[in-house]
Amino acid sequence: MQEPNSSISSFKQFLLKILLPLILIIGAGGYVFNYLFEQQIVFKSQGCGAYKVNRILYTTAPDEIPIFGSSRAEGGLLPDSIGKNYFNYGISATKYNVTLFFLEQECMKKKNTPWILLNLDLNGLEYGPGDLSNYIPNSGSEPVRALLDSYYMAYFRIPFIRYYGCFETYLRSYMNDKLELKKVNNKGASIEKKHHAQRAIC
Amino acid sequence: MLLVASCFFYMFFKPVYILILAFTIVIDYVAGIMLENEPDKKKKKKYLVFSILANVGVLAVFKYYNFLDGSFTSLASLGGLKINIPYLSILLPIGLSFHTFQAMSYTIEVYRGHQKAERHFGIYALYVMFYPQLVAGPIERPQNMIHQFYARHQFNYNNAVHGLNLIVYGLFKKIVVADRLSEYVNQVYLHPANANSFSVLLAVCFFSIQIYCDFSGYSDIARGTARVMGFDLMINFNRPYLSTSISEFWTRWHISLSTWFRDYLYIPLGGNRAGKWRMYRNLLIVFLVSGLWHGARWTFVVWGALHGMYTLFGLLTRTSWTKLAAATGFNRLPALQTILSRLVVFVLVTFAWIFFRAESFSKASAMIHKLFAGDYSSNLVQLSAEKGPLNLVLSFFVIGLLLLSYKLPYDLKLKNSLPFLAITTFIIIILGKYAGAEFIYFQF
Repeated sequence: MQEPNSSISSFKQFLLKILLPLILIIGAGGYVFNYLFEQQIVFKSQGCGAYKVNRILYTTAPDEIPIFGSSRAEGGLLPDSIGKNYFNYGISATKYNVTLFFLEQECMKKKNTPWILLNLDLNGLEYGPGDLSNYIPNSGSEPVRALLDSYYMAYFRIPFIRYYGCFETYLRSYMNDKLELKKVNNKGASIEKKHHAQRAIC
Repeated sequence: MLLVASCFFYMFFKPVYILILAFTIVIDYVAGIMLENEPDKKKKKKYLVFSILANVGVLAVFKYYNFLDGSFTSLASLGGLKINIPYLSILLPIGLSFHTFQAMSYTIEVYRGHQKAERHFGIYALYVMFYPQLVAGPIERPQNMIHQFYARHQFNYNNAVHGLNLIVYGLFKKIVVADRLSEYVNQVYLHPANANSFSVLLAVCFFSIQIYCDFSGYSDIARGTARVMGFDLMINFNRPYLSTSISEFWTRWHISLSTWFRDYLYIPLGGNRAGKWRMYRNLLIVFLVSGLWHGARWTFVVWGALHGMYTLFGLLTRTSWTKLAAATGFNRLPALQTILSRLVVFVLVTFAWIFFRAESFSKASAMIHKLFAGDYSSNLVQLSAEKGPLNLVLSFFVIGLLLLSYKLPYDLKLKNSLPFLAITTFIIIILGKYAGAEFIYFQF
């Protein structure tokens, strides 16, 4: 039978030898991994929703004509086939409030061009943020928090942990961008290869 | 305190079902005391039969009523009779088969005189309800558990670290491996018509690994949780796919259930003491009942029957195999013999899992038909079961990680646990499936 003192010293030992070092290792390692993952994967794939949200928040290209909308925009409008300065911000499964968010961010920028291409249809006239992984890397931004509203989770602010269950989503986006197995990617647009070939013939 | 926690844990699912548990606890508690106090053997037997009937009765109503009803109606309609017995639309209480079997082992052990009747109602209730193993085992014996509830448990460094190792490894098996493979498996089993032979082959092999990781992962978490608190639960899995025969497989897979059937069904039926043919009959009965224990469906019975036949075939041909190995010189290559035996066991077990996983015979036959259809087209959509190539690559990757984990010391008693805990936690966070499926064995 253990004495209470030995129980306390045992707990201290557990705390100092296992729990605290474990938290430190995961915290430090996770922070580094989080940084590398965001810089090398998430923000390196133009087709990724998180990249698009980041781009609309923090990048200003005065001559860029943005294309906003959902998957119909993303998979239907190829920037290079329209003109030189287009970028497709379409994100799959987004609703009107997300398009509105993009519009608001765009309207705050100083631009040389008044043009914005907007792809709206009846399916988009619902309310909801769509896939939350589109916002997690930018969840520190006030407009994103306002957009997410009740969908915002406190753990979105914890590096590394916040991506639990989402790493695969970003990796898939990245691989789709780089490998182009089934889709052709062009400045944020992502179009099925067979459709792309048909359009080229037209 | 533990009892309150266990009640809270159980009631989290469906509060009213605690009454079913309370019913069996009261019956078996009283039966235990009566069994101990009764000197007359005949009366003792009556009490035991009453207690077993009460437990089996609960199982029959909640788990097997609709199955028996459906089977009886179908049988009657074959004979031209139209019978309409109403179905019970009730949800199966979580872990019913597990805690019922655990409760039965108590009364049987008291009857046999191996265990003293527990007078403390709270301790007995805790024996049935101890939350780490309440919903999916291991199915414990009173000799192993009850004395542990009397002991005073204090925080112990070694227990806590060992427990944490088991919990983290169990989570790895469940969240990283089982839930990853379930993506592929579920898709193929949902639409076998869309799959080709290769994807069906992959799906059935993946399911073998999925169910192992799902169930043994739960057992590891249960053992780890108990271990942190200072309790010892029995080992339920011992790397079963390393078995070289089906008999050995059953000494490594769901050990708490197979030993339960051995002690409380196989041996009372006569075991291997009443001649060869009686032994074969007993083995078949045990496997059929084991199949039925898993679920109220004929596919489970077929799964059990297949294992029964595998075991009988193994026993009947054992000498012939030994002679053949000696005659061909194969016995001089023990490593190759072991590899081949393991492969054969894996193939046989995997084939039987088809019936376990399929919801119906038509689904099972569709899977088997596809498996042998010889359609090995290299269609990427079919190969990846419409889940994308990344999911397939990750599925193989996590299987690789699982195999790598076999290099770790058995039962995870590590000299330095920190690197293991850190690396495994990293893997869980990066590769874990979010909002994955619940544990497969929760339904039993």
